[in-house]
Amino acid sequence: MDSPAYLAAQHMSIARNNIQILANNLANASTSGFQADRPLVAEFEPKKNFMDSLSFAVNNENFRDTTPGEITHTGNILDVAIATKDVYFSVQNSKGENLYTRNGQLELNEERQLVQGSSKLPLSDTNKSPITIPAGMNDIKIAGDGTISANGKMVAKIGVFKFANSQSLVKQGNTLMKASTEPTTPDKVALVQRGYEASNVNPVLALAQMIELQREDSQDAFVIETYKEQSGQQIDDLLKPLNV
Amino acid sequence: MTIGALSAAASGLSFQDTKVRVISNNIANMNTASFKRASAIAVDQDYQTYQGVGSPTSAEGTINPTGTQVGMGVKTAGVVRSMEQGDIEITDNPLDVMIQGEGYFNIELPTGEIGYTRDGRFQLNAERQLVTMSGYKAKPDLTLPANTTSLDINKEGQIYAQIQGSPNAVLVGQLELSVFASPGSLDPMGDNLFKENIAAGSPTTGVAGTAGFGTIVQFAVESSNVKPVVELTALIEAQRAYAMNTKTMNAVEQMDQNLQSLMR
Repeated sequence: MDSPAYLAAQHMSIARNNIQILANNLANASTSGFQADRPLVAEFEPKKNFMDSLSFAVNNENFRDTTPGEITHTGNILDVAIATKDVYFSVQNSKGENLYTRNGQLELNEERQLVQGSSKLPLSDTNKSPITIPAGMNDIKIAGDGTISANGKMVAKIGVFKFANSQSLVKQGNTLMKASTEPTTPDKVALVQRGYEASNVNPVLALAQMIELQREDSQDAFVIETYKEQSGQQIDDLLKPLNV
Repeated sequence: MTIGALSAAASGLSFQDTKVRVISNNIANMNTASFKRASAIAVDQDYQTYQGVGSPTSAEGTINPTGTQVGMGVKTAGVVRSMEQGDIEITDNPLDVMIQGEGYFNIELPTGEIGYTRDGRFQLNAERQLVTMSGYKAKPDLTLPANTTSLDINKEGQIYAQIQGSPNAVLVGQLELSVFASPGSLDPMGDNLFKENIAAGSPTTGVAGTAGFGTIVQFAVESSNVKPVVELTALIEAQRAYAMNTKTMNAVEQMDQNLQSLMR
């Protein structure tokens, strides 16, 4: 396996995976609470001795960019954005599983529970229980620490959570993520009512990454093409004295 | 694999298309009284997992800390309205009333259902009842006495009529308001009317000036809350995002050509 053509081919295969990651980022440039994925390319088998001059590239990790997106003001009382990096709201699905999100565009359901708008799943308070706004209370205020008051009375406190390794959160679509470990409560958090967090995708960066990927791919194709010609030439040269 | 990138880009084009349609409706309603600007909400689609988080990376028990997840693009989650108060426009019509703050006027629809509106440009019908521009009656029924010379509507929405030859104004009735937990989710029916639904929550009916309700301003109309600068910025943004997704398609096409060139 010392052929550079195989390496280039492997790299081309990774590029086809990564272009979809970049395409997904760009497609979600307007998705509230969306965090961009960054493909990481690593060496597969590091060289064991100097004779092994080549090593394969693999992509077995994506890195989720946790830089907060800009906060867009909407004026809607049920829009809440997290201004603090790497902390998350929690919602609970019908199976009782906790899912995490940065998307705080909220609504009230028919039981007057606060639900996360895109998934319609109940938003959790600090004890991971749903939050109910009593009937007749519509003047809802959400303080910076997540305390909700309605018509001047305190109702609940929105739960925000952080993880030892937030990269372990797995995206589920609908701007929701699943955790494999239990979160803790952050020391400090700043919530902003009447606004939402815009996608943190930087379109210019995403475009630059895409152009780079496309160029690398053309180079890989060139390497394979050159190898094909060279090896063909070598075989011709070897066969020449035999006059076949 | 590139088909996934292509469909992700296509989903981006489709969302931006929805966004542009919502923006053009906003711009078209720049001068519609009580109109609330809408915006399309996007969410990411499902993900394919190629390498799971926590999958082993060696026989020594080291694990993959992040894994590889590849997204399938974007979809429209819904269209929500911004409930920001529109600017106040002063008129000389005593039947023009505006809600300053939370609340909707209750309107009896021809079907017998109740519609909700913030458009308080009332008129009188043949029976001297307060009706909307479309001729739907305000709820409760408010009938002005004959020979009314002038009309006073106070902050609480109480309507006083001054009748010719009578020294004191007569209380005709009081406008009723409804508030919703999530008014941005009400179903628009056109004609500045809305219908309640599950997402908006059931209405709480009351009168202006009490806790949770706005106050009434007479001789005023609430303008559309569409801000042309905001819409044009959003339009440019959508146009750019559209172009970006087209670029993705070009990049994918180029990569496909790279592969095809090797097959020759």
